[in-house]
Amino acid sequence: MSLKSLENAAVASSGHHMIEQKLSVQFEDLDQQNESYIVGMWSFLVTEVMFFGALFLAYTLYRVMYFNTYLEAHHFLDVKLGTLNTLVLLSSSLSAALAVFYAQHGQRIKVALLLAFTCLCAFGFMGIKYVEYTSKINEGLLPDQNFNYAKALTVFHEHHKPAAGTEENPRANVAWEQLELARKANQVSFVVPKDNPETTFVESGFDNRVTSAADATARVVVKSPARERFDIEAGKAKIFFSIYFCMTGLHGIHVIIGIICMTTFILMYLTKHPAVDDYLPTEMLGLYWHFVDIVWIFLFPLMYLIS
Amino acid sequence: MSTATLKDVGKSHDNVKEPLNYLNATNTIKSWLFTVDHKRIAIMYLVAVSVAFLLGGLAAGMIRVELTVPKGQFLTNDAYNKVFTAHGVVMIFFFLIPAVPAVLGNFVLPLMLGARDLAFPRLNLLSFYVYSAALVMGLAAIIGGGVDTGWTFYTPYSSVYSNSNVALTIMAAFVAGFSSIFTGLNFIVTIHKMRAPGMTWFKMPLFAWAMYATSVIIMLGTPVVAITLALVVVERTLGFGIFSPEIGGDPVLFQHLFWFYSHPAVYIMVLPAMGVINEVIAANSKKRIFGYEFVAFSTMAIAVFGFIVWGHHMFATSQSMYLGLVFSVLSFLVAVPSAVKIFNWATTMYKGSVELTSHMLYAFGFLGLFTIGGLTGLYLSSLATDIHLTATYFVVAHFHYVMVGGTAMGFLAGLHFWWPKMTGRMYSEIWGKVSAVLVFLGFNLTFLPQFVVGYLGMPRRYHFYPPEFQLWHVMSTGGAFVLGVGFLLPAFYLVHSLKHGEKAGNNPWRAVGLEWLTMSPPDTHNFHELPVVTWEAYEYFQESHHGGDVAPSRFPFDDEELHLAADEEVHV
Repeated sequence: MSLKSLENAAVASSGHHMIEQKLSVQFEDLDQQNESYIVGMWSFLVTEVMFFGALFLAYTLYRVMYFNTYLEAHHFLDVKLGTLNTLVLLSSSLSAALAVFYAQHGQRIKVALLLAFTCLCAFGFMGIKYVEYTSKINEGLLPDQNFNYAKALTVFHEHHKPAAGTEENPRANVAWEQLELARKANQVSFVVPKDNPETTFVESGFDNRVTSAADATARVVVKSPARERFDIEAGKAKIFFSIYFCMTGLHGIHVIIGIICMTTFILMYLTKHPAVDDYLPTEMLGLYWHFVDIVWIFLFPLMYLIS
Repeated sequence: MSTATLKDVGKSHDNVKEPLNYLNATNTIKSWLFTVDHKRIAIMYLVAVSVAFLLGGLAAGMIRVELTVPKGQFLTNDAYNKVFTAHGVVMIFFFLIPAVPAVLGNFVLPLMLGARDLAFPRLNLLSFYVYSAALVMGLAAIIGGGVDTGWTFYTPYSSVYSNSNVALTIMAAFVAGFSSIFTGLNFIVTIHKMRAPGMTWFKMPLFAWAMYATSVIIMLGTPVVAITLALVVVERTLGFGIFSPEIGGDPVLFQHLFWFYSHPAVYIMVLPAMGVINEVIAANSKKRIFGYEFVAFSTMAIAVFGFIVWGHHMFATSQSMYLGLVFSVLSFLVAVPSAVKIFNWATTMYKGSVELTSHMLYAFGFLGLFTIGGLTGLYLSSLATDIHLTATYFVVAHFHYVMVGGTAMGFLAGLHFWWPKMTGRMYSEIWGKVSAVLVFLGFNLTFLPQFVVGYLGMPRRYHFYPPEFQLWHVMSTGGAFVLGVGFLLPAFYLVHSLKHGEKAGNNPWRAVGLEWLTMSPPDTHNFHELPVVTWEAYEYFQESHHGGDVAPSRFPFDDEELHLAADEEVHV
């Protein structure tokens, strides 16, 4: 029997399926093909879990080592925006699940609409993330060469004066205490007007980035012990923000991939592309999206709700 | 296969013209570049992997020539660092990891399982192109300036201090990782879902078990190292702080994450070779693999144990003594399933009718060299001796015995074993034997002295050394040249066989296995009729008193015999 006729026979025998599905040459029948797709997708998700797993391990290790730093640094993350993002992602997950449900029933317009809603949520998530990232970068919390924890802490404490009578958790102030001591030792001085904190920062004896060998000998900065201790604390905070940006960044990349996939699917549904005649591809897209969602469900409490 | 139907192919065996097969079905360049046929992809992988092996080998040659004199021959210190890094990176990421799975696995796994192709043929092609892109990136990094971190990319040297092309090289390794993930995913799904009717898990050839275990390791390990390497790139290029001890980061965390993959990666390299050895030994002894189930489970056991021993690479770091103790004990445990395999192979050959073909000679080489490599591993997994031997040439010799003696020997054994199936031609058996013997002798001459010089205290990766070590190094260099000739020979006689080799029948070695049921080279869709498996794997049986053991008549030598056998079955 030629392969062509084999294929035809398989398509014919699957007549009880609501919609005819194309059988690839390497498979015997549609069940085998569908099961293969599902096994493949789940294996892929296992790989994805390991992908994030390494980052979660790094997170955990440093959390154990530098718990107080985590406690202090996580205050810079906006819990309100984080909660909003969680809600946005959760509702996108619901609409993705509904899209799979309607795909199984062959209602392509509903699927397209629900996927469009999911996509919208994904855009919303990225938009909120963009707002969060920009404010972090403006605060000097992007952990690159310009990471400036002293500035960020100063601004933060200007704006978040503890209400009278409330006790601040002393463990959450490790770096701030050292910064205060350093300030008293005249190592750091800041002028922070309320209206525009960006422009009028004055740092003295703080910038010890060395740009040339001659520079290095010219500027020997003798650090006070408090300044030394603050630098150590700032280094730990840099690790926290590195992990924050790496983990949420990798998650964000996954969201963007999800957006691209969903847009493709919406177009395919609208043009009645044969690839989405069967519900299976949509189901796998749903699996992927739920995975992205679950990662965030772990990231949100681990990053935003440390106490 | 555009116009002819399979029926025509089936008939054409009595024509003079060569029947249509995957090689001559179409012959435009485009039909190769865009093929989704696992067999053609395997051939393309073979070419790419051979290029990588040649380049890695050239780097090895440079290292050996350089080390004949205590003060070095022609390289600067910096260039020497870059050459040994290039050797490591190219050999590990671009030869050892893909060699057996992507070439031999790709070719024979669907045939062995009685499938028309892998489950996801296009993913398979993507895997090849991702690999090629990674190879190009890696070579660009190495040629355009080089890398001096060693293939292990230890932080903080790689992430902060090194002035060489670290980022591009790491990205090459990162991309290559995706290529192996794609292959692994394809194999897992294929083995789960594409087995021919009747082929249960315990009727599968052990090569398929090896591929399964390897794929599981790839799927669980590779993403971890991929993200770890990505973190190094982020730290290096953006200035983030993750592993840098300057700001309180933990460089040993990098080593943990790196070896969480890179130790299992040793099994990604050696398990497929062990799978090949199963097939070669069974076919050349004409006996069922002794203790089939034990060998199958030992394969899975190695995959599992492989994930919990990585700490033995860090006995000489800040890792706690108690953790070291646990890792030491676990490392000893890996020796058990490995030994199960070696003993079962030995027992398989016992009272079998052993044929000394060239692939069997390579398999013998594997047995001897891998055993030495494995046993010297026990020295390194003992805490006290490891403190003395860490980062010496003893380690270098140990892992070359495992990698070259294991993986490269297994790869060559498999290549010789399946070459008639892949190309439909027989190669020169005499040259094959010469090559096998040269590789074995040359290898031992190269690396036995390194055990000695390492034990005496010569650290690895050093450019200069005290003059009293020179004798050992000269021996090693001499051996390297014999080894190089041994490795180069197959390139000539195998290519020569393509045009001038004798036609191989369907089953030149009279072996058992679905891949020997179809014609050589196989048809584009592997089988004219999909087989239904009713027999055990390795179903050899004894033929009277004098004739030795044989394969049953359902695995005939050529199409003539196939038809005779078919008639016979009808009459029975």
